[in-house]
Amino acid sequence: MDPHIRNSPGSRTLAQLGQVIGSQEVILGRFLGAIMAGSETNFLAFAGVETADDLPGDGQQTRLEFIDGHPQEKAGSALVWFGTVLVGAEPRLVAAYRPL
Amino acid sequence: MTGNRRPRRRSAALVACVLPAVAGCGQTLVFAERSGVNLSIRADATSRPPLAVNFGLDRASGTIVPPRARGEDGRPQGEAINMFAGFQVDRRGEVATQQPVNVDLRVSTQFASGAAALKVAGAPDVVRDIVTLGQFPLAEATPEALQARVAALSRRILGLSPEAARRALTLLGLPSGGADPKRQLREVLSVRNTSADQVAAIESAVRTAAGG
Repeated sequence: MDPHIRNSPGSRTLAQLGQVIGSQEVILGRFLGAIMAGSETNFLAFAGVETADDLPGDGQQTRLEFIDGHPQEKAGSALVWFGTVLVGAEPRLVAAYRPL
Repeated sequence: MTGNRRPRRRSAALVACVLPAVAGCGQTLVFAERSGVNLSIRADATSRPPLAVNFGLDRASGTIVPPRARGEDGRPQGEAINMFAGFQVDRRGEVATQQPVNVDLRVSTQFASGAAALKVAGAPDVVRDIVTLGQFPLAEATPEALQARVAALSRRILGLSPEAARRALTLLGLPSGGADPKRQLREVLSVRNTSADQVAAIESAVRTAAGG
């Protein structure tokens, strides 16, 4: 299953980026990760959908948080990804968690 | 990259050293790039114009592609690995005449090789995305009022047969000849998730295509 890649402007806030990822996960499958693509854009990757298990259930969408260093384990959530992306047009270290 | 800083030159020496070392590995694909940014400034008060600036970007890409097989005599047999690559140089903002070297450039590159390139060879849209950087569709958040409908539509696409998905694409006036029409339908929904009219059109097409 090939992932879907989407463009997201780097000017978006963390909340806006989280809403975009949550919206797209429902259509394109679970969020895999993101990467800065130049100084203005992030690329977002989604896993694709073949079965119902590939779609997040209600309230199971990925949530983003700013982090400082290596992300911490969180009870009740799985760490999906962490890395540097543009948030508010600035490179920021972000982690993505998915509720278990 | 800013032109009024010290010009950077990424030496090809590293590439030259690495390539011979890995080229003999037999089945190793090597993709190498060399970038050179050259800045030349000539200032002479007695000439016209008194200041001349030349800004150049020299970029070269090369690949070493292993053969699919070798004969008993060691000669390569079979086709080489397929590859698509593209790169693009973007300048941000206008060039100020008072500061002609104060310009931001972004150099982007991406490529697909081997099975990935073979897989997309028959899909011109995907090849175009690979060789044209920054052309991935824009992701938008679904408005709250449409979220439940979009989620339901996404689940409904799961239950469609490939033939029904093709019919839905045709009803939407879209090409339906791709290898994975259900994936195509999701791609459409993912970029039409902000408009109630467009979501309604997809709902109608899926309902009709599914036969009810």
